[in-house]
Amino acid sequence: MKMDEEKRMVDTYEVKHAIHVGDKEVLFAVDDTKTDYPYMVCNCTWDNPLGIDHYFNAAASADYLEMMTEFTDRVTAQLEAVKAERDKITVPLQPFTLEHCIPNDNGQNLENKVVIIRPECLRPEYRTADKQLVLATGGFGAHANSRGRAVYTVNLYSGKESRWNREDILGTLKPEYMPDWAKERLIQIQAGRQAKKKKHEPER
Amino acid sequence: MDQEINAGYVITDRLIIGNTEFVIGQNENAPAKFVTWKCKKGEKDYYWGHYCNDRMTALEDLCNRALDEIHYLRSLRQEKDTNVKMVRQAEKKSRVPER
Repeated sequence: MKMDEEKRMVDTYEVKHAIHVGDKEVLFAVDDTKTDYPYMVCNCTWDNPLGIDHYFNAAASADYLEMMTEFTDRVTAQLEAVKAERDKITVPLQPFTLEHCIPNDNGQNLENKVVIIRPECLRPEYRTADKQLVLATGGFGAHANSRGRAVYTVNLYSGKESRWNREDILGTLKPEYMPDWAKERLIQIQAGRQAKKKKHEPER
Repeated sequence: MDQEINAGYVITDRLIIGNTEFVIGQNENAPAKFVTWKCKKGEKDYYWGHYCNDRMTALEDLCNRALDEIHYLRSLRQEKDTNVKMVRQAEKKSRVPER
């Protein structure tokens, strides 16, 4: 469990161990008042529009060693899943740094630009180029000199839509560093967005 | 809560199995950025460091070390159960009147 976390509860269970790997966190929690099932293991994700904790796949038992085995097995399985996901990626993974971008300052409008997510804002296992390159599509934080923070993005590799804060953006990608795979994906994503926009426009 | 540091590594994760703790330490400036250590529960005397360069490997190692400890504790429990059974059987036998 992360050292700087406050006491964390899942229902009446106190979280004793929590390991975050990839898109999931595996939790081991204890409630000594529940004599039949004092030990509980469950998973948690935040993959919903509000980013709220979503606990699922809970298992409980009175056998500490059984639940500890379940916990370590789940973490190991999640590590394997992340490795398998990484093996499927066919593009270079070398992360983008400050030298590859025009640094983010509040005076820039980010809308419809390819921006780089700061590596430190990504989980250690996701600090790779495919996770960093996104197209900024909107949000108050995408505008120049705005008070808003939200920047809505589409990941160029996966096409996944996300919300970031303006300060999570390292900068705008310099065109000379745009990889070929990203150029192709950008054209596809922009075409898709145009088609979607047209569909929603009222006919005259 | 303050960050705990051992030998320049920030302790980021901790697993407790029985009376044993396993931790992950991280130091971005060290030649090996990650380490897993073992220590007695509640003590800060870390030993048997396994060093590596990425967090995934460190997590995998942490889980393997924890599982080894779980197997060890299970075997102790089984041994204890067997001993208790044997003592009970011996007691039962001693109570049976000889014919």
